[in-house]
Amino acid sequence: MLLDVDGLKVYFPYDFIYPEQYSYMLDLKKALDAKGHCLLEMPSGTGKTISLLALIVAYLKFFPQNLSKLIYCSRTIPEIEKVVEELRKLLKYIKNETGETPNILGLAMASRRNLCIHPEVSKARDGKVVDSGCHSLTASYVRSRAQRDDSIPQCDYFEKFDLDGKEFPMPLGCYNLDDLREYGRKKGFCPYFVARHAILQANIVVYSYHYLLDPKIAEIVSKEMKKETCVVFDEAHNIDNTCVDSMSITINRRVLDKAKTAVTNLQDHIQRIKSTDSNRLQEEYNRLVTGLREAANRTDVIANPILPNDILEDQVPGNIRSADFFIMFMKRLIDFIKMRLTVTHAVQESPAGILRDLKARAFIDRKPLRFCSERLSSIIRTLELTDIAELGPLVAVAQFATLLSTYLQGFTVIIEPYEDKAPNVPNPILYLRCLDSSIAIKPVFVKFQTVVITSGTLSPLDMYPKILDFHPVVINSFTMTLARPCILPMIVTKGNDQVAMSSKFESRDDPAVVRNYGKLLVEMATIVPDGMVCFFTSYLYLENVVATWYDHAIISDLQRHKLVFIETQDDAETSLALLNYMKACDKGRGAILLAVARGKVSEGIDFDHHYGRCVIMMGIPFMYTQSRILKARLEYLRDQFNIRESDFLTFDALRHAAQCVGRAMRGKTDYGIMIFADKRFSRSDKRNKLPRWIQEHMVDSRCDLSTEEAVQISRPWLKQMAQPFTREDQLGISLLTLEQLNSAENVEKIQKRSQQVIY
Amino acid sequence: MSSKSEDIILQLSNVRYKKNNGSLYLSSKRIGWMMDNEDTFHINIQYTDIKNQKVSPEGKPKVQLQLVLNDQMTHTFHFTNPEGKEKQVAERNKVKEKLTQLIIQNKRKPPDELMEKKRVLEENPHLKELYVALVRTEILSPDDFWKEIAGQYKQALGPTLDVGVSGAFLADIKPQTDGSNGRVLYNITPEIMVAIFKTYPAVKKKHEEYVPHQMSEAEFWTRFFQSHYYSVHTTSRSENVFSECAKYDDKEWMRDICTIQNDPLCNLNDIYEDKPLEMESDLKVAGVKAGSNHIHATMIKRFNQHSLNILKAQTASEKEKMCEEMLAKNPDAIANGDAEPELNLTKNKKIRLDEKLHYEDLERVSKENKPSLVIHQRKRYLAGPSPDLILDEIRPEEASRRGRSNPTLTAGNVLPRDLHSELGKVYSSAGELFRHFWSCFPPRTPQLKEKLHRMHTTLCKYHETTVREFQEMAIREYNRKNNILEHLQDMFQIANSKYEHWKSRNEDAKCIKLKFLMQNTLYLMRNISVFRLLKEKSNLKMKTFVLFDILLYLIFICCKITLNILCFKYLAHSYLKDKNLI
Repeated sequence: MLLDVDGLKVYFPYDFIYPEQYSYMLDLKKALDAKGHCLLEMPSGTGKTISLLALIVAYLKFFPQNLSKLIYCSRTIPEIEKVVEELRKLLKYIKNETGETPNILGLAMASRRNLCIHPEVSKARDGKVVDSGCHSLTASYVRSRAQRDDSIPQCDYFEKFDLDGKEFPMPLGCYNLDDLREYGRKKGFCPYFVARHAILQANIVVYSYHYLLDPKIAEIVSKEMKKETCVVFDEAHNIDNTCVDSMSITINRRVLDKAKTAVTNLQDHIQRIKSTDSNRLQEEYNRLVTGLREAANRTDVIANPILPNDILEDQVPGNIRSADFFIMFMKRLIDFIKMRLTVTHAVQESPAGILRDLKARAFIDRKPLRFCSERLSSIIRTLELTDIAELGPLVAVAQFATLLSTYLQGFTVIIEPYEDKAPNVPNPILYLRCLDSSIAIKPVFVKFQTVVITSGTLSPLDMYPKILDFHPVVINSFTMTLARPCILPMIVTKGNDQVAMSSKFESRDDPAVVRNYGKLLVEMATIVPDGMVCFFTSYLYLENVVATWYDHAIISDLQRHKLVFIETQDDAETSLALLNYMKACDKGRGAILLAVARGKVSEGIDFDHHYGRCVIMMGIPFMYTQSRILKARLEYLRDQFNIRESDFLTFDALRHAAQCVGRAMRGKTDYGIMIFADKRFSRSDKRNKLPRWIQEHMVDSRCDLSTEEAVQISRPWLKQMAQPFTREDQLGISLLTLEQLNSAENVEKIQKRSQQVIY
Repeated sequence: MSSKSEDIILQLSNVRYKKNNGSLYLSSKRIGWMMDNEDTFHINIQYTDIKNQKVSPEGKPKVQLQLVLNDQMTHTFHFTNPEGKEKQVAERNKVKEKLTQLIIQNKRKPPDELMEKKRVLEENPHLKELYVALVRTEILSPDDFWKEIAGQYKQALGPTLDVGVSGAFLADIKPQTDGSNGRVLYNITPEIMVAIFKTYPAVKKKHEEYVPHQMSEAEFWTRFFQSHYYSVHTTSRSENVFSECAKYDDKEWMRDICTIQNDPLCNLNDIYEDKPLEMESDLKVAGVKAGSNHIHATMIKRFNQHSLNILKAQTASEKEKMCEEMLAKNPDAIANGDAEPELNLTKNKKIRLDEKLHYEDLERVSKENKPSLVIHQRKRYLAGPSPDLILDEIRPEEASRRGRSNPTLTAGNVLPRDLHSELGKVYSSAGELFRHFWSCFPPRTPQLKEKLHRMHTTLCKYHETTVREFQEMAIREYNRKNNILEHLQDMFQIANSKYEHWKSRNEDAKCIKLKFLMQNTLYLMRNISVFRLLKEKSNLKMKTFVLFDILLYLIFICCKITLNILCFKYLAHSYLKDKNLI
């Protein structure tokens, strides 16, 4: 249908529309008009992506001077592909309606592992191996050497692309990863480089967060994007952690040892080059004198982890300009870190403190440290090394040095003699942790005109502007208009024996609590059809509980009703369990999946329809509060942003809990029970932090239930939900036709529902 | 026992019941107890009423046997053989074993054939109607009816479904502690054994290898219960019979893990984009993963394995069934084309992505998605199994279709309800007969020919008795003219003419064969006369004899080809005559 969103003609590829989709578009348009950032929460499964794409495609068409590009960031490969498929659907619809091909080039972008079509290199499953294999075939010096020597292998796809692919614009349309590979095969171009090249021209680019947030790759991939761009972070509830992680580095003894070997190898190389071709080193030296900008090469694999531009203009300090000196410098640095790693108790220091120590003990200044990683990539280039994977640890050390010396604020260094969970295994680790999530994302907010942060679970909304340090023009949380109560959130606080259920540290291992959790699961398993998912607060707790349940024969009670699958720490094993869980649900046999909040299952897998009729959250998934890293971050947040520790912890725990239970709802025809099994959920400070669309259905009478009461409520509800659900039931309430949408009365109603909070 | 016809299988005296002496009798159907010096049974229990039996523990002074009935009643018998306790125990055990066998026999007896037939008729009202119309009127014999008409109904009901394996079959083996000895008793039934074998093919293999060559059944299962399969806690796998099984299972597990690598949507390793220059592998401590308990981890793995195996057992039996069905349909055992797997994968992925994106409530339902037929071998599909099916001018399907599509049937005029239902019955039973009649074409085997003849006579009979009667009744009571049966009559006529046509052609064919034979015979006769001439001329008796024998043989072959004994008789006769002449 052709919608009128605040004066903008939007083609929407369906005959009906959800009211919240319309209000979402309205809000998005407001943000685009204001050229500001926005924060929108809308339940998953209500067609967030398609509304977003429909509006932005229309906007691109009618206001090309205001907006020329959409960058859509998502977390997982399947999600990226889903977005492109939705775009394909939309473009096809527009073509059918208007008769002309829309002037849109949309494509997905992913790492070489997902795109490579080289017969040898693409065989490897490991991303690092593929990257390194590609680099060994396509690095500029390999190619120049290959021109002299025919025996050196090259990648034909890359050569062909380099020869005439760059001038050859990609035909309009939209390209998923498979389409890109297909296109590459047909034309003989390397799909990865085609995509890298095409994202500059494309109107719509879909890729992973890292390409924008991680300064190490953002520099390579996303540097030349224009300001008139709208950036969307989908599923962004975890964005602050992604930001923090992308700026943090962890080093342990093994990394240092490997780095040391790598340095020694480098030294050997330098000696060899000196005897054969000393000119090359001299050339490099001269280049470094004039400044790093000349030395930078865009197709590099290793890039500087920091963004400040001034560093690139600057000269490289004299004491690391010579290759030999630099090697000595790195050796000293590694030795220093190694020395610092020998601790018997945990140490926390500020970057400034470490720098002072470096100066005092290793006689290393701050300035050369800042150039460390840039200098390293220069020498790798000069020495024409190809095995990037081997150099990884050395690069990490160099990046550590650069980050440490560049940011004195918002970072901390923590050295621990062993891991907290395994105190008997000596394994000293040095963490350089970024504490401020706004550092990594700041360039994005500054550079691009509109940044949209959206997810199904962003509550409480006011937290994100604080921790990411930005000022959105629109903040809104949409609820789901429903014709029937298709979610049933309940808070179960006690077992049938009235013992309170809680994953609180003091009581979590109490046999009565564990047994009550088990009883809850068994009783729900007897009445819930098909799939059930149960999330635990941590993997360790999951293991202990399962062991206790086995002893109490609760596992066999479960097996009597459903097949039991359990998430493990091994990804492959978990994938297998997951696959079979889905198979069991498909067959109608029914299954239970025991998983971990914050685990990979909870983040990337949807349990729609029969895959998840009931989700149980066993306890509140708080972070491990004894972790020094977390403590440092909490402290920083308190000092810098005035966020209380407990507020942040609750916020974090509840967004993960909401994320877990939200996995079960993927649309209005879907239905599912959501059980929060912890006494503490019933407190208002926890309850009110859940997303609005869940809170709305949480009535007071269902907030303090025992297991039996929960079963009593669920049973009739499941029966009611299993009745056929027709469009007529939905129409006018949770589903609108074009006519209904055009009536002023309805629009008013929609607007009233989506309670506006505009800053 | 009450009916004297039952044989007493076992009789034991010195059995006390409620402190009265008496004797115990076991027959094939029931168990009875008679007090001494009496001739009526005090107790008389059908085996089917017995729920289970219990025996007194070994240490107890009294040797007893208790029967628990389905209605929770119990009867206790006390064995009091004066020869001593050992004899008592022996007797008790004898009764117990016999009783176990008998109870099982009585339980497993399939329901009566007649009852089964009755059930089938009750479940299919249509079949029942047919039965009434055809068998009661003696148009068809009951045997024919069950063989030909009901047989097809059974097939149409679809294959029976396999029972899957319960997830908790191992947990359902409830161990019982036995008295004071601290012994644990596991009761294992054939059902549990089947479940174990289905779930763990490795155990089945081991069972075949070890039992009974290396160990007894009981020993095997004892070890099984000691192994990790049953006690998930057990980690030691040394010397165990099942350690090899564990290795096999682990291998399977690894293979499964490798196979899922291709699943694009569920592989947790693949769905996340790599972070650049991650050194996770370097940061991990060698050995156990941080914080996790090894025992718990293996336990969890075993749970997953167990569930996976159960699922597999189910799919395996389904697959087998599919294969069997395929084989039955396609006896040449040619897999009907293989789709390319690589292509399948990407396609699959796309379909799955689309499925995830699909909002059923946002779209109009007008465009119906009809399932498309996937044909891997087009030619085969279009050409059909073999071209030599087309033998007759009128194809049977065509004929019946022509008959059925005739629109004259009662169009326009509404029939009275009774007549309508009557007519329906007549039509349905006639239709059934027609179906069988037409299914005989082309009659290529003698059985089919025979059936054709039979069906034709049945049809004629049906026409004569039921249809005509109905027609008369319609005219008499409802004042209807023939036209309501016009269509049915048409069908009878078509069938009849087809039959006549076939018959005449069949006879024609016979005549032609006969003629051909006659000519041949004449030719042979002429030859014989040549031989006669020869014989007269040369007088070589021996040789001619041989020659005549060859001739006889030739004639025999000829006749065998034409399958006509008469012909052979005639020829042989003439030949013998000839021989006499010689």
